Amino acid sequence: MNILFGNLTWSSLPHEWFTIAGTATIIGGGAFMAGILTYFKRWKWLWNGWLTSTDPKKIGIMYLIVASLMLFRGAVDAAMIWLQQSIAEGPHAGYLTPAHFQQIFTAHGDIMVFFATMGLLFGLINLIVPLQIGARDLAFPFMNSLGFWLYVAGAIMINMFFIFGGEFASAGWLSLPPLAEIAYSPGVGVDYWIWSLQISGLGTLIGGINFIVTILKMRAPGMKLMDMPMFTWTSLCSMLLVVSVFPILTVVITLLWLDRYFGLHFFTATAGGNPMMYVNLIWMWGHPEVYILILPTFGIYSEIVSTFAQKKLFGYTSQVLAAFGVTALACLVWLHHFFTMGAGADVNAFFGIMTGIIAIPTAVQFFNWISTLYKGKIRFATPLYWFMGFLACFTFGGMAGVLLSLPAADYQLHNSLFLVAHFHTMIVSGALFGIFAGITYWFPKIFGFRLNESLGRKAFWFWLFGFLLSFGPLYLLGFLGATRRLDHYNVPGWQPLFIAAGLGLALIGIGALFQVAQIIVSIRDREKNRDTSGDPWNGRTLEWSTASPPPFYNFAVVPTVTGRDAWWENKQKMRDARTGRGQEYQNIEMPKNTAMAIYLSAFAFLASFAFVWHIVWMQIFGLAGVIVCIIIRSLDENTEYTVTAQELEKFEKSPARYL
Amino acid sequence: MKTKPKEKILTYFIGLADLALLVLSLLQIFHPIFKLPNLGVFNAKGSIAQAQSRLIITAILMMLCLAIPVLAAGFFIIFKYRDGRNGEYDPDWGQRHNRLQWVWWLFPGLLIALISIINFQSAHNLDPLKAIDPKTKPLTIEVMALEWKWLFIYPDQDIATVNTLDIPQNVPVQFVISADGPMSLFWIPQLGGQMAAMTGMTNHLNLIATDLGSFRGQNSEINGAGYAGMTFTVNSVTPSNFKTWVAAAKQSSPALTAAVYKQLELPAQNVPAATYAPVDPNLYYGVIDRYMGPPSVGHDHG
Amino acid sequence: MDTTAINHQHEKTENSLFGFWVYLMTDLIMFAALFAAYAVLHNNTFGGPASGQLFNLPFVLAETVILLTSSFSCGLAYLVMQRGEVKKVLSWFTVTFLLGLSFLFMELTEFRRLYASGSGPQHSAFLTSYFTLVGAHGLHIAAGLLWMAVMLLVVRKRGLAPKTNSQLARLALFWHFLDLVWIFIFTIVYLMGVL
Repeated sequence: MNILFGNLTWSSLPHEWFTIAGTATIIGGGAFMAGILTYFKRWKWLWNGWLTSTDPKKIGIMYLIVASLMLFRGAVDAAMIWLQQSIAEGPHAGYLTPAHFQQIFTAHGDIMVFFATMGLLFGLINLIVPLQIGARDLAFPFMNSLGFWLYVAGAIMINMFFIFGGEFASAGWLSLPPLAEIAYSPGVGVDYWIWSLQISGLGTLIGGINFIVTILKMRAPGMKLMDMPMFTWTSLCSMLLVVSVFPILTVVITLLWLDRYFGLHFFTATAGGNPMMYVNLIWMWGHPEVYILILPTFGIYSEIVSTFAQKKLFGYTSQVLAAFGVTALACLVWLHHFFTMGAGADVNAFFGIMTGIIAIPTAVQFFNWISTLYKGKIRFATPLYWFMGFLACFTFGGMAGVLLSLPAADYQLHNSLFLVAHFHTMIVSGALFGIFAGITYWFPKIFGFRLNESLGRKAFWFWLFGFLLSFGPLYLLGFLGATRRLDHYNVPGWQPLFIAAGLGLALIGIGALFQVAQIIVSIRDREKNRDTSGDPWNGRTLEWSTASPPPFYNFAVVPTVTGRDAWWENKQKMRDARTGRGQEYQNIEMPKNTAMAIYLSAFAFLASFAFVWHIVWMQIFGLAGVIVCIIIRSLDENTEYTVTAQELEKFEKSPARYL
Repeated sequence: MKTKPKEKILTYFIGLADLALLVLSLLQIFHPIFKLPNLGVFNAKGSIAQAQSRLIITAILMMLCLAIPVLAAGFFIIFKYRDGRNGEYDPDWGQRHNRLQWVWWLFPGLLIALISIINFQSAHNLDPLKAIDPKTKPLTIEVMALEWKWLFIYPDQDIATVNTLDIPQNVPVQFVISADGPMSLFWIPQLGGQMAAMTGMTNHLNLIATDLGSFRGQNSEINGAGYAGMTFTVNSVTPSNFKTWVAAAKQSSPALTAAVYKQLELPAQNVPAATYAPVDPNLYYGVIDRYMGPPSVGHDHG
Repeated sequence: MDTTAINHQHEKTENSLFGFWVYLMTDLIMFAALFAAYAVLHNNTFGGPASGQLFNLPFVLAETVILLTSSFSCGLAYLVMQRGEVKKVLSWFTVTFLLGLSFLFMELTEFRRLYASGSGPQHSAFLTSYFTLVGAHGLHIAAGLLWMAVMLLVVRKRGLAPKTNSQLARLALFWHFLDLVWIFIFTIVYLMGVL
């Protein structure tokens, strides 16, 4: 048995009520989907049209779907955390044991950062960046598919403990040693954590390389770097950060795994290991990670502000410099995550001041947005509402950040709920609001019809007030001395604030329901809201110059660019400026679909699972499978096909539709 | 550009509010004007926590000086130019005032420059390593974070306590902090904090209680299942009461020998307070040495 | 092939090479992190042997010479590839492959010797970081050898096509990169450890 199943035994299968519930949900949901697909005979359509696709638009949509599921999973975790904290005061132990509670907040953090927010961003970048730079495809379409499937494999891995049991990690979202070492966390939880992050992190790294090459090498003729739309710029900055810091994450969690699997001593408390080194390395990745999430959404806000103010973005040069400033400084501030670990005053002050300096380029972007709005003709569409919500919340969240950058203040605020409230403000109002704004803004481009405005606004207001109500009390609780991650506490005065935070969470839940309703209603009314122009917002950048949804080749004729806001300038010059009209079509080469990325990720998944449970034969099988897949793919001479000029002409006359 | 009277009033209002904030934050640097009652961190009972809460309020006020006008201007502009209803739509305004983008760097730059000065000074003045009063000899307390309880050793008094801590009022206390288990964070919000407890190394934290009373202390870094219950009480008593307490503890407490420590070391949740005397004098540094191992250069931390 | 197709192929080759450079930078960062770990931990011998007592410098010097020679022969293989001489490409890459294989064999011999003398990676943080850093390089060499073996078969079967040439160019780049990393390992781990 041991040879066959490693450490996996019957007794490790799920037997806690909440893992059984999770398992039932996963299996039930999966069976339901399979049933629907079988009933409507859609398996082939799914496999050929979507799963094996190398089209970044389809991959982008799949990213959005998987990330939304993970967002839901993370939200359920958040609700469970809140419920525990609102009842576990004084003698009441709450409904969760400490170990369960700790697994839940660990999973909440990892899922929200790695799988919800990152997935949503990668989805939007896949969907929009190639269109914005006038490219037909990414530099490495197969690699893009591989990055997505590794991300999916990671997302499945982080939920595997539901089905195969054991437990999830309970050492916090970064699994700091020595707590995460085998001596203090002997279960498989941390191993699930390691391998989930490892495979999805590799996917992110591959994506980062892909987008850097795409943006730098595949822009439409004439588009200089300083002509690029802001979202493309900030995505580039974000991807530069990805390739600079994700290797560190890969290394540091590999070393932790070596410690746990082979009994090595990188970060152990004994035998000369150095846990401080882990803390340093993980935050060298972890802090830039925050900017990886926030930079692209700053680009989204720039696009939205200039589109809805119907003005050129003010201070473009300054905006690009600011994005680069943030990118560079992001790598110089990691120590502010542990001022309280006994570094000297000089070291702390240096990192604190560097952190404060990041506020400068950030604030400059606010000034430029406001200047863009000045004397504009501002349309109050839903994306702009999200921007306004962001403007207010992020300002105060940023202030809290500068406050935390003062080491002497941080001594009193570190690891308190004030800190929790701060980073939720940054990620929710900075990244998530921006993603919602971006999805609303580009939805007609992606799917060919607009989202319902009134439901979108209702969703926004519930989100905004829910957000304020759930994190306002957390700022206060921090000042009261409440620390994060408490499964119970003995201060009666804290309880009302925890309950208030939960009401905020409920409001957010209503907001999310409105978003679901918005999508359903919009699909129902799609014919009424169909965007036939390809340019529903009177947009400025190239993605609006092609049809909605764009054909699989994006542009029948690659546009030639002469400056910033290429599409807007074209529109000013001529009435019907749709690129390619009346021009000669040429044959183009497009990438074929391939299932190899799925096979490769499946083997990587198997190997990872085998590493978690010490199943040696499966490790060898999985790794060998990965290697064979890579070899087969790299020897494949037949990865592209030709779309002839005649076919192009035919496609141009019959627009694509998903729904 | 003509300014309408309504806008003028708004401008004056924001300007005045800003000036008031600026004055308040300057005053705050020298004297605490805002003392919010009964809020943990702001309800300071020692000079370190007082200075820290003053710093927090000062920094908030200073940042509001920039945040309020920017936000007010931002929302005012958004609503004013809604749908271009006042007919002032001017798409080329930006090209004509392009240089303004460089001016925008000055405002946050100036604010951050000021805050950086405060940052540097406060980081040094409130350095946890720094002795509070170089003339007085501080009371030394060795803190050992265990799974999941705090062990406090008074080396000069030869007593030890678990999850309770008595300190004399107005006497500087030097905490010498280490751990025998996963990393923990030592925090007494009303006196100041926090400092990490890590195996094989010692961190220092200097605090003082200027008021009498009982304060809550806690661990703020997750270190396993018993994390949330790892709280302790700090009693600030008069120096004479402190002496009485020490004497009483010495009389009626069991000794903290190596064998007792072995028991204490075992993981346990929500541990009640206890007192020990006398204490094995090599206990604290013995634990550190155990993690340092046989002679080696050991851990570096910057 | 018409001109657009040729342009397309050319563009793809260029993108692949640029992408590979970016990948090499990420790999360099990974090695930098491993070097940092070694720098932090190399004095933490925890009572066990220190680097001075452990390494056999002449042996490592021989390893180094072999790897440098393989890099040279790899360079020659790249040169003859550009001239389209299939046979010479095969023989120079075979030489490189054999040299690389002997390097890997020597490294494993060294590891086995240390392990047998009771200085395995579990012994102390110093040995942990040493085995991981040098082992990570060894793993890269093994991957490079596998790649080379596949490419040898490909060239034998398909000759030199634009796509094959582009892959060979990246392989050569990878091999030189590993050489560079080894020079750092040799200097920092072995020379500075013994002297």
